[in-house]
Amino acid sequence: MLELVDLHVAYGNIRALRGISMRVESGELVALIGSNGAGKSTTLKAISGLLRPTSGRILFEGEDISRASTDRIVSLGISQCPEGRRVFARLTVRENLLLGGITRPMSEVRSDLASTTELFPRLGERMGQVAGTLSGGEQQMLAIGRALMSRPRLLILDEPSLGLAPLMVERIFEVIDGLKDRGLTMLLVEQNVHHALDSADRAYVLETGTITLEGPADMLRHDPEVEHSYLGR
Amino acid sequence: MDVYVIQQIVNALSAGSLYALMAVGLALIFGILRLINFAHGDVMMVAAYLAAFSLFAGLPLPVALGIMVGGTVLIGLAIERIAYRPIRGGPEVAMLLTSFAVGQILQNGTLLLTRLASQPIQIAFPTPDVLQGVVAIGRVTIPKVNVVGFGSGMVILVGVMLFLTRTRTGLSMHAAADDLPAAQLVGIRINRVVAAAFALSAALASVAGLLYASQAGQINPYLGFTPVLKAFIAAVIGGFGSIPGAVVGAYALGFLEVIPTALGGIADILPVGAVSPEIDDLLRTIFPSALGSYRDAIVFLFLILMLLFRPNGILGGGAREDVP
Repeated sequence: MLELVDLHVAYGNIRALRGISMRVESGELVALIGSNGAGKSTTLKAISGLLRPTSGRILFEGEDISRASTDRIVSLGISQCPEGRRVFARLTVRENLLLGGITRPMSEVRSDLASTTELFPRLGERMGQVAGTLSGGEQQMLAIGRALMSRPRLLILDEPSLGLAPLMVERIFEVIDGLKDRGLTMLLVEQNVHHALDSADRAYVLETGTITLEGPADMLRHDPEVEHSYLGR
Repeated sequence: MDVYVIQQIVNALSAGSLYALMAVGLALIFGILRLINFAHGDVMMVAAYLAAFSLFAGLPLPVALGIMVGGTVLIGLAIERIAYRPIRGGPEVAMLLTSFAVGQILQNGTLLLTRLASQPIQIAFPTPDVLQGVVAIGRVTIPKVNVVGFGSGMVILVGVMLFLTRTRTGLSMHAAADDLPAAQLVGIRINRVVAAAFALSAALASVAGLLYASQAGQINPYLGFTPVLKAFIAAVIGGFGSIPGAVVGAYALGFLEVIPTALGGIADILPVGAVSPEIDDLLRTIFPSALGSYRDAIVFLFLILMLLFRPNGILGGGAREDVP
């Protein structure tokens, strides 16, 4: 469904991605792990059209989207839930969700509100509340809910458990597993490698702009290097 | 006394509407781009010229107003596309300086065109009949331009509020103002939203230009300076970047401005014999009739006090930090 081919991205003279290739197949949950500064966020920004690659291709269902605008990429079916949640703090929960569907006809978006609040009952109770006053966990739910309102075929989650209480981390991963069961294709960037590898089908390890390891999540979980660097064993 | 007070209140409301039309435009642009658009006053000035020349050409009023609003919107869109888009996201100082440059270009461009049309720098504004003369309610006489200014200002502002809270484009503007990258990620077309904000802001400035020129009776290429400064003060008083804040600040400024004049005349409006001669003297000493000419000094004093004690403005409340 998504394929990155020899992707290079640079910030001025700093080469953030040095030719990475990876793919996400339909129905898969793929985890992208790596330490801070490895290039995970850069990869996601390039996929969403916020950064232009210096070379290489990003194919979504065969179409090269490496030069497409972000709104076009969202309309094609890639939705990104950004790191740090980034909900529209001064707008209500309902308005945040409606804006999540900005690329689709308003009538369809309105009817999707119900299915989103079914997934996140807490949001349903707080539709009129200003998003900035929600708890961190609720904001993460809202950010995921907002990203789902565009009816993505590929959902990208950037550090969804970052800064959340342990109980809320469990809840977020329950949601991710639930979405996977419904057949949604996902690309997950996560510093909680333990959880990420538990939920994922496959994973890639990114280090200083290159993919150093890839394979089924089960295999990576028992890889000595991954155990040492990311699982702290 | 009633007559005098009512007249002052109408003056305050009318000035408030004018400032609000301008301040909302400033707040809209600042909210999304962090750009203080000082060229806004010059956009308003251009609108006054568009109206004047359309009326000089003998066009019927609705057509002239259409040209005024439409032409100003086009100029607003062109400014955004040519001057501001290339430096979007750049340092705030660069954007501020660009806005001054745009203002200079508009002023000198207008000056050049008036010269080419063999017109003097200062020309009489052909105020439309509906804005001329006075409305008499009992003993109270109020200039029509003030009544129409206040009324149309309120109607337009309510419309803008509804647009901003009820439509997708309006919500997109809020979202872009809240978090530009996140707005981009949900698929909002930022270029379109910014252009819409400039178009709306220019349309509001054009109405303000018509009202201002009708009140002043004459126009020149430099007339935009005072209104944009006042609108800026109004927006700061209300809470900079907030649309409701801009409106509240604008009407607050309108009232603030008439207070010195009103107090200066207080001894004259009391019925004869209502107070003892000593108190009458005292009133005339504390509130001399010349107090009105200190209007701007008093406004700026208030602005300084606001910045000292309530820097986030009337509606600013506490610090409005973005939730991480």
